[in-house]
Amino acid sequence: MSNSRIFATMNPTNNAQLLKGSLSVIILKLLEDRDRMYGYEITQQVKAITEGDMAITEGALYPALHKLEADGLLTTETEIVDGRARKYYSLTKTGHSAATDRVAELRAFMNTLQTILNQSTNALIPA
Amino acid sequence: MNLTTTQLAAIDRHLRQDNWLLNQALIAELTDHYAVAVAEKMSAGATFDVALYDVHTGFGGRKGLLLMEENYQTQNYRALQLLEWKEVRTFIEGSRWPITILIFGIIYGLNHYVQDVLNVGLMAGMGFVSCALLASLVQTIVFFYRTRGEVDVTVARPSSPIFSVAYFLALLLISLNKYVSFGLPAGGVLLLNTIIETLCLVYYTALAICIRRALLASRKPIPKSA
Repeated sequence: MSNSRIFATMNPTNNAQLLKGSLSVIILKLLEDRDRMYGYEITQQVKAITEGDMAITEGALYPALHKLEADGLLTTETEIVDGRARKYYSLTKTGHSAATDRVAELRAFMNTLQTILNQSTNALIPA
Repeated sequence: MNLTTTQLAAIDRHLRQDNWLLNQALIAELTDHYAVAVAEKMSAGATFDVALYDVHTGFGGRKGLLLMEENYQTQNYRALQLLEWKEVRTFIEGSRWPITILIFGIIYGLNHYVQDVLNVGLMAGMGFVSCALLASLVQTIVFFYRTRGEVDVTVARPSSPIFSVAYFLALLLISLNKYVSFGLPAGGVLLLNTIIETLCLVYYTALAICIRRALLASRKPIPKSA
């Protein structure tokens, strides 16, 4: 079962709580895979990858992007598209190493969690 | 699907008038998001008003937008502070260290021959830099207390440790020598004074670079959406 499916089986409030802690990692990972992205593109990319199971709200996305930018992990460039200013985010040098570290941390955490969940499930199975 | 000029104007009005946003850079970013999202929803069959309402809900309504703007201003302020210390670090641990050595040499020479001229400047410079360093120290303590160790690597080091330690150590030794008769030789006092003056000048130079960068960034035009 994919992680996105795990999120999808939960109620929206718990889903949002889980997502809140890993949102910055999701953003860093997406930007590591692509050179640059703008806000709306990130929301759509997450939706596409998870086949609609996970949706990042704009109210959560932009504060996370702005914080990562202030931390020096993201840099921005503005381009005019269809007569409007479009702000593209990309990783800085520090951002690239932070992305690698945080993804690894999250993976390790998920493995530990998986071990605990499997252990609990096995404990319920009668011998 | 491209939005009409009237629809783009409605989005602009929605953000500025209906939801009271003021920050130009944030409005420009959100206008683009609204425009793309609304256009996509309209392509799927929604009317403009329904699409606008849907996107607005995703931002958490007016409350969410205002909170976002407040957060944006806070992050901008923090980014400037980080930039300030990043510049200071380039003079101490980064590529600009030869400039610091040069400043040190010049001030040392001036202190040796025309000490009185620099005393007034030293007092004024010290006051400001000491306040900035103390504020940075307090902020770091508060930050560590609030995050309880769950610290981001980039914000865990807002100031320059070498700068801070060198500055406070030199200041402490000079104060001890002055008020407790520490017995420092004249050459030692001259060296400590020069260190403090050099660090003050480095701080002011870094500050000037930051102000220049911030001004240049603010001069970049943000085109209106409608």
